[in-house]
Order: sequence, then structure tokens, then C-alpha cells
Amino acid sequence: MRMLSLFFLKKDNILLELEKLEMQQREKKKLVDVLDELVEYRLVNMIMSKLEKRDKELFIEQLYAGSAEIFIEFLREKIENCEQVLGQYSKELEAEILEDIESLQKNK
Amino acid sequence: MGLLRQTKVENKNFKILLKKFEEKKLSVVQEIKEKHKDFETWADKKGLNFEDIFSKGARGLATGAAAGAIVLTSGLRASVEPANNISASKDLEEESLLASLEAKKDVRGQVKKDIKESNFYNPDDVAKNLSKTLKISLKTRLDGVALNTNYGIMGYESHLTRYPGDNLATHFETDTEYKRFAHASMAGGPGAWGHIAPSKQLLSKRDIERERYYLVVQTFLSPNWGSPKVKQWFHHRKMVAVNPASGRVIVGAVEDAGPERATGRNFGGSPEVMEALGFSGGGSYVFMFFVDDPEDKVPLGVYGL
Repeated sequence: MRMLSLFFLKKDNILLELEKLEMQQREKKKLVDVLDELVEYRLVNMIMSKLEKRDKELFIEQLYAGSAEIFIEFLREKIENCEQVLGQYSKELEAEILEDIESLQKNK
Repeated sequence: MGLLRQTKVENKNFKILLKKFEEKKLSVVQEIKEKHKDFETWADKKGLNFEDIFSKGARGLATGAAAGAIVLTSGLRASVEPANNISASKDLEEESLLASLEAKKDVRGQVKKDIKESNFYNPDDVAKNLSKTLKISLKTRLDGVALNTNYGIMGYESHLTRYPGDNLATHFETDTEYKRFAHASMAGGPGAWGHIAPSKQLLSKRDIERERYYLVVQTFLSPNWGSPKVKQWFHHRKMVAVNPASGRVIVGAVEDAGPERATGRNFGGSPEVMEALGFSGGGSYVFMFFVDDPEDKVPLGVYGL
């Protein structure tokens, strides 16, 4: 379970596409876990690129142990329009993931 | 034969996707390690592995959910539940638990607009308009009890001693909280109603939340003041504090009486309340309203988180 991924990644369409591949539940679960990690790392990478040096350590601390409340408040303060910025980037990631899954269906 | 062939295809799809996603993941991990050395420096300092930083990231989220707080904030609903035409597996259902918490939008802009469009000198009008936006029933008078004012200066208070022996070393749950809020120091005692909990062992999550988001009101200046019943009525009373300049809103609990009339201030807020309202440098003007919440459904904390 990853905080940023949980907040921002829409999984409905991804689950729907995985369903079409007729995988077993445990396989889908495994893929969703890896996708969660992938999206979390991508979002963290993006956020770190937008933070000032002095804010980076604070961000890491909150990522590790901060409450969700303080964590999000921090993001709102440090990144202008954080919901829109992270939401838009998550949509791009979702599209990329869907493309990967769909390409497999085409080669079926 | 048909069944065997199908199983083989499924496994192949899974393996291909898993390989692809794992490769992407490793690539971004590598990029993070190269571009942001702060992670390794921080992890070394704490005696952790790089991966530990991420795997524990949801701890605060789980705590928040357990405490009944509404934590999703993106306004884009965090959507982990399967679509309607997908039969959810038990494993995936577990994940959807947290997503069932309803996301709330950032309402700061609307709050400022509501106040601007209200009759500033009529707190009932402000409360009515804010109630619609916040979807919380706000009152200037509840159960017949009112404050001396609903608008005034809020002072920056210290942390309350929650139980005998509570101090700066025991007060915070994380390093981050300590770094952010220890500077406010301890008040040197409990609030007007005594300790929130009799001992550390009996301190509940609810007690922690009440102190974290505690409010101070001039109970003794209330037009209803004068009986033990009214004094008790104020204890733990849920109220909303609104910074009209920033539109920030918090839901807190009355845990202390004050400030003294001579201070010129009308209300007080815990360090967490003041920071959340955007008053890091000291007091400023707020609106304060009672929350009409007989079923105790409105969580304490920063509204919208």
C-alpha cells in the first residue's frame, strides 16, 4: 500500500483491462502491487524534482512516518496546484500502463 | 488440452507484464537514487534501507483511517475499487477499504467566497453559508448556549499536558511532529477540565486528537455562564475555526477556557490548529462556530484532508 499511489492513481480501467487477459486473481494482485510501487516511485521522483533542497529531507521524513494529513498539507504548501499537477501526471502514468496492457491484448 | 493451453497463455501474459513493470520500476528507482541522493543520506542516518522509506509510507494513512479521519484530499477520487463489471477478489477488496473514505475537495477558495458574500456582521449568515460549503451544520447557538462572540483574535497556545507526566519527550508520535510543534512547548498543566486522560496507558486515539486540535473559548463570558451544567456542556465541544483570510478550516474540540479578557484575544488554538489555519507567526482573526453533530460523525482535524 503506497500513499501517493493510493491518493492519485485511478485503477478502475487498469483492473478492467487486466480482467480481459483472464489472469488468475493472485496474478492480478501481484501486478497491481508492482504497479503501485512503480507509480509511487514515479510520483516521488517527480515531487523531489520540484522541491527546494531544504524541503527534500522533510518530504522524505513525512513519506516514511508522517501522517497522511500533514503529508498532503505539506505537498499543498510546497507545490502549487499540487492536486492538479500530481493528478495530471498520474493520468499520464495510467495511460502508459493501459497502453502496456493493451499492446499485449493485440499480440494475443 | 484446451484448458492447459489457456493456462499457459494466462501465465505468459502475466509474466510479460510483470517483467515489463518490474523493469520500469527498477529504472525509476535507479533514477531516484542517482538524482536524489538525499534518500540514501537520510536512510543511512536512520539505519534504514532505501525501500523501507516507501513501504512504511502508508502508516500515517492507516492510522488516520483507524481514527475515523477523512484523509483523502486529491479531489480526484483515489480509485482502487474495481469497476462494476469486475468481480472483486478478496485481496483487492482489502485494498479498497481506504478508498471508501470519501475524498473532499480543497474548499479554501469557496470558503473565502462564502464569507465575502455573507453579511460579515451577522455570524448566523456566515454560519449558514459555510454550512453549505463544508457540509457540516454550523451554529452560533447550540442547545441554547452561545459564545460572547463568533469572531475575534485567536492566540497561539502551548500543548496541554494530556495526563500526569506528559511532556515534550512523550507528547509527539513522530520525529516530524516533534520538529514541527515542539517549539510551542508545554502549557505546564492540563486544560480547564483537568487532564484529558488519567494516565499514558489510558490515553486513547480520541484523546490524542482532542489535544492535537484543541480550542480555547471564553466560556466565562458566555451569556449562559453560571452553572456547572453549562461548564460541562463546553467540555470537548466540537467547533469549527475558520481563517477568513486564507479560507483554511479546522474542526477542533474545546479543551480549555480562556484567554483572559485583558489579553485582548477572544480564542485560543493549539499549535497544530494555529499552523493549520496559517497563523504560524501568531494570532489573527477567525470565525468560530459550534458543530451540530449529535452522532459524532464529523472528524477532528484540518477540513478537506
